[in-house]
Amino acid sequence: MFSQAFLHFLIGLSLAWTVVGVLVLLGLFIRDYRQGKLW
Amino acid sequence: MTADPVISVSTGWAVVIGLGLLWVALGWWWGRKAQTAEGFILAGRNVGMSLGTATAMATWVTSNTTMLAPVLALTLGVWGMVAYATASFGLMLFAPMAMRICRTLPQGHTAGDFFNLRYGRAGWVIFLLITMLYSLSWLVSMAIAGGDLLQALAGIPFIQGMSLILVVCVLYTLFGGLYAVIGTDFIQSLIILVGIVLVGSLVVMRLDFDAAYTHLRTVQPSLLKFVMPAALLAVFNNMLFGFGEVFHNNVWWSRAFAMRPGIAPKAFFVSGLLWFPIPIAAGFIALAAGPMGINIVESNQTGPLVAATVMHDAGLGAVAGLVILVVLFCSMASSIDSLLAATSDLLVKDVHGGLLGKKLPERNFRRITGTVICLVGVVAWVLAAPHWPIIEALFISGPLVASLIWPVIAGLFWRKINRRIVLVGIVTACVLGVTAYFLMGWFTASLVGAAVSMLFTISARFIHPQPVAADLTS
Repeated sequence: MFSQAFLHFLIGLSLAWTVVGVLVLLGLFIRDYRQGKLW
Repeated sequence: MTADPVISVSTGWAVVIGLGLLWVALGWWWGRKAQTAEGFILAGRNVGMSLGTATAMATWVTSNTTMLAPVLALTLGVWGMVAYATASFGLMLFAPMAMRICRTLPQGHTAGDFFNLRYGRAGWVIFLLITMLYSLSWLVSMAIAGGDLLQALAGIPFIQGMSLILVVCVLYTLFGGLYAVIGTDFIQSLIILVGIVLVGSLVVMRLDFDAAYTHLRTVQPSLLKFVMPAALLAVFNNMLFGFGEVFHNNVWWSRAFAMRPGIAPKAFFVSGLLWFPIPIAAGFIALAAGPMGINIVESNQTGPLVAATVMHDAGLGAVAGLVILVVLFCSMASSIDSLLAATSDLLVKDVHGGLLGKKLPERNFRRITGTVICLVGVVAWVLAAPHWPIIEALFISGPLVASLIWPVIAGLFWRKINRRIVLVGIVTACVLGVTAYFLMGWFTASLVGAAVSMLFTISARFIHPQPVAADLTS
């Protein structure tokens, strides 16, 4: 069976990873905007 | 708790109309950049990393991701969520293919250009049939999901809600082409990610994990099983379904063509990485239903119901429905607009231009592209209105799209191939895959389709292979 600790880890990791996703998209957008490379 | 409307009808209308007007206004604003047919269809072939990554990620987040992931978690447990997350591998593996696509077809417009080049007219027609079935069933299932969502959350009648969502998406795609689609995708992707984090975090904060785990172990132990054959099959089946969807469909090929040189491989890889946790972050909340005593009457309402309950308990009852509606509307719109654009591109370029031999005039290209987008929207409406279980057609298309995985890879990377064997393999894989769907179950169909097609495609490499055409003139 999947352990409780593993479930904790999986859920925590997925939420943290999603937060990182938001930051990555914003960071890329700011970089592209400053360099005039959006589209 | 039963599934009563979470927000008032007037709030539901206000949110959808408000967001809809925003997307349409942005679509009109960005659409001014599309001065040529190429600009309208491929956003000037100059899309950068941020917008490229966001559009790939947002398009792949559908209402299925946010609403089906909890259902899979509820029925197949931990492996159910992980099974869904493997669909991200398709985006990541498309990265090297995007590089090759841009090199093989530097002035390409659609995935149909590739199938015509490598597999001739017969291959082109087979591809068009499969992709139209898949794309239309995806589009229609999104429209139906939108109508169901507005009815469940706000009590808006199905036909009205479904019609409104389709009209909004058709309008901004009509005004702005791929510029509008990609621009709105960026905003929608941020809203989706923030919404998922908000709801997921609230569930984590309010759930007693020890009690929840004990409850699951006692009452629903199968959801925690490490070895669950059906779930393990689902993992690989979904992965191959994902490969087939991404590798063949014009939604992704058009993005590869639209991005600036060198950007597409990086954008697709990063988008896959960012997409991976979403089914897990959205799905795990279903595991909280039992421990929290939430009565699930309809399984496809699991996600919104748990989210609404948790937010209500946290004192955010007034905004719970609003957040859920906005996130789900964004996830649907980000896919519907892409499907409208990509499907109409195929009809304009491949059917109107290729099969019927008519040129797309530069002077009034908007009249033709606009007509086709509206036509696709009307067909989607007609198929969605009776509320048939079109999602079944989408799942049945799993083996069909999986049958195209190896022909696409072979066509991009091999120098010699026996076309006829590949095409026979695609048809055979489709037949056997659909048979497996009905006789053995949905979690085997894409596996069968991909395996059969693989055998034929590998044979085509060694049995009387012919050099592949370098361009459409040879």
